[in-house]
Amino acid sequence: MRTPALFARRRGAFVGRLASATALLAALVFVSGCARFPAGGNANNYRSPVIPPPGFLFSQVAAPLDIYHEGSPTIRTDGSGLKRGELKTSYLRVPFFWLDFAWDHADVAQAARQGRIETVHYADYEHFSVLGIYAEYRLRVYGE
Amino acid sequence: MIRTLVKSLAATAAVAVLATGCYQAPVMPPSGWVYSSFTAPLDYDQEASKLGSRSGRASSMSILGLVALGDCSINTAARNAGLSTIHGADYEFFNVLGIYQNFTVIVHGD
Repeated sequence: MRTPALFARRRGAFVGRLASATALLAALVFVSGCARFPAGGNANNYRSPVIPPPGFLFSQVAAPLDIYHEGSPTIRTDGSGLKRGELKTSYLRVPFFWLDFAWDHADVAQAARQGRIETVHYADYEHFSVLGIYAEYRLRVYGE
Repeated sequence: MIRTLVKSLAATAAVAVLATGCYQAPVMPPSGWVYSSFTAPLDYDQEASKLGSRSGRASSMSILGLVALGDCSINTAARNAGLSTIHGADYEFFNVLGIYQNFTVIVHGD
């Protein structure tokens, strides 16, 4: 015979399982970088104007950095391709300890100098990460 | 009773986090966690913007939020269409249950 108490127990068990499943999903969202917090703590936690859907285990995606493009040339006046300057920053987290390190430079001025570019027309970036432990943020500027 | 309430609140918070979407762009329309397929502006400064005669596309994808691959950069999208000048950019976002997500950059130019 089914009693109100039995229904309440079953409903409680169902809500518990649902909560566990969603907590697991939320954890996945956190580690994958979907939830964004102030910088630090995770190789997938970075900021940029455009961030494509990330991957926790492995991520290698290139995306636009510059979003204003009216009249940006993609070739030089002589018909050849634009020059490219590239720099990267790196990030390493020590597993099981809350220790992380970030180094190197990825600023537009140095990237342009590296590519011998005098006029920058637009910029992209590439984010690479493995297991949320190691990451690289690579800046690419294009110009002539 | 209190335990159930706390669990329900935790579940709601988790779903709310999920529903915010896993990508970032300057302009983000409301996106569906179950299904999304929409386009939106990437370049939203429209002052005297030409439309351009051609469009180039470049995509990246993510599977289960675990593996993400692809090149949806402006440079690749412009090269795919053989553009010599870029006038503007939009993007397209596609998602099914967070299992498969695709982010496509669409550049317009000549």
